[in-house]
Amino acid sequence: MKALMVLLATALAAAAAGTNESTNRPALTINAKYSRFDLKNYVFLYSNVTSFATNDVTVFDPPAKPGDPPTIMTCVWLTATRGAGGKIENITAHERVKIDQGDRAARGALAVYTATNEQMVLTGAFDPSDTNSSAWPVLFSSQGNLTGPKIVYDRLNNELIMPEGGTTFIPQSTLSNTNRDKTNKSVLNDKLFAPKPNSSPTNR
Amino acid sequence: MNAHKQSLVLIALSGVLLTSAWATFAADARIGTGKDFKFPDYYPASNGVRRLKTLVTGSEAQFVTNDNSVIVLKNPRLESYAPDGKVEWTATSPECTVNIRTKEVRGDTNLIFQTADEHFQQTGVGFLWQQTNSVLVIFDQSHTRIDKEALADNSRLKQ
Repeated sequence: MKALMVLLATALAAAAAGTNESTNRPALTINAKYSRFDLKNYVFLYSNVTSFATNDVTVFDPPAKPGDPPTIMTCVWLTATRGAGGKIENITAHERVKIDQGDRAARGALAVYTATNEQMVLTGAFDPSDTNSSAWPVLFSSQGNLTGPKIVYDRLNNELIMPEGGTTFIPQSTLSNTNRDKTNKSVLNDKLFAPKPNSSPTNR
Repeated sequence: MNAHKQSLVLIALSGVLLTSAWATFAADARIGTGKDFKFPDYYPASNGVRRLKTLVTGSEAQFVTNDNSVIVLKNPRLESYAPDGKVEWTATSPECTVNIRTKEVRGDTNLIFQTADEHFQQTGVGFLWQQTNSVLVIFDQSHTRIDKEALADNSRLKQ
C-alpha cells in the first residue's frame, strides 16, 4: 500500500512539474510600427504601413523551458485571428519570414501558426525572385543546411525541425567561393545534394 | 452729405456689432467645458431593451468645433460590451478627441488596450477607434502581448 502511495505521489509530482513548465511560460510579444484590429471579426494586421519592403514585424516567443533559446520571427506583415472564446486561432507571417532559435535559423515565404497543435509551418522560398536559391524554405544549423517542402516550429517542444526530411542545401555563394564551377560544372548545376545520414534534424 | 456719411457709419458699426455678437456666441459655444463626459452607443433594441455596446468616457470634456461635434477628452476610457452585458475590452489614454458625428475617437498619445480576461494586451502611440465598424488602428510603436492561455489549447495545460 505504501509503495502504491509513493508511486502515486511521484506520478503527481511529475505531472505537476510538467504542467509548471508550460504554465510558467512568459507571454508572446509582437512588435510592429502599425497595427489594425478588427474587433468585430477579431482579425488583426501588423505591418510597417509606410513600406512593405522591410521585416518590421517581430514576434518574440520565450522558450517553453527555462534555459532553452527563445524563438524570434520577423516578417514583412502578419495577420492573426482570434476565436470567439478569446483564443488566438492562427497567426500567419507573410513574406521574407525569418525564424531564429539558438544556432538554428529558418527562412521561408509564409509561416502559419495553428493553435490547436501549437505548430508553425513555414513554406515557400524566402526570396522568390532569387532564381539561384531553393524554391523551398531553408533550415540552417550547425549540422548542415537543409531545404524541403516545409519547416515546423513546434512551440510545445521548442524545436525547429524539417519533419519530412530534406535535401542538403549549399548556398550559391559557397560554391562560387570554392570556384567549383570551374572544376566541376555538373556539381554546380545541381545544388541540392542527397542528405548526409547525420544531417537530418529528426536524428537529433 | 453728412447725413449720408452718418448713415454709412451707422450701418458699418451695426455690421461690426452683429459680427462681434455672433463671434461671441460661437466662442461661447466652443468654450463649453464639462466633467464626467459619457458617449454611449447601443446595440439595436431587442424586446424594447437597448443594451450598451460601447462607452467612451472622459474626466473632462471640451468642445472644439463650432458645431460641437468634436470634443477633446482628458483621461478617456473606451469600453466595449458583449450583448450579454459583459465587458469585452477596455482602452485608456491620457487624451483624445471624439467626433460624435463620425463616431471616431483619435489620439496622438499612448494607448493601453486590454481584453477583459487580460490575456491580450496592446500598447501604441497614436490611435484611431472607429466605433461604427469596431476597428482600432495603432499608428506607431505597436506592441502586443499575448498570454499563453490565449495561444494554446488549454486542455493540455489542465492535464
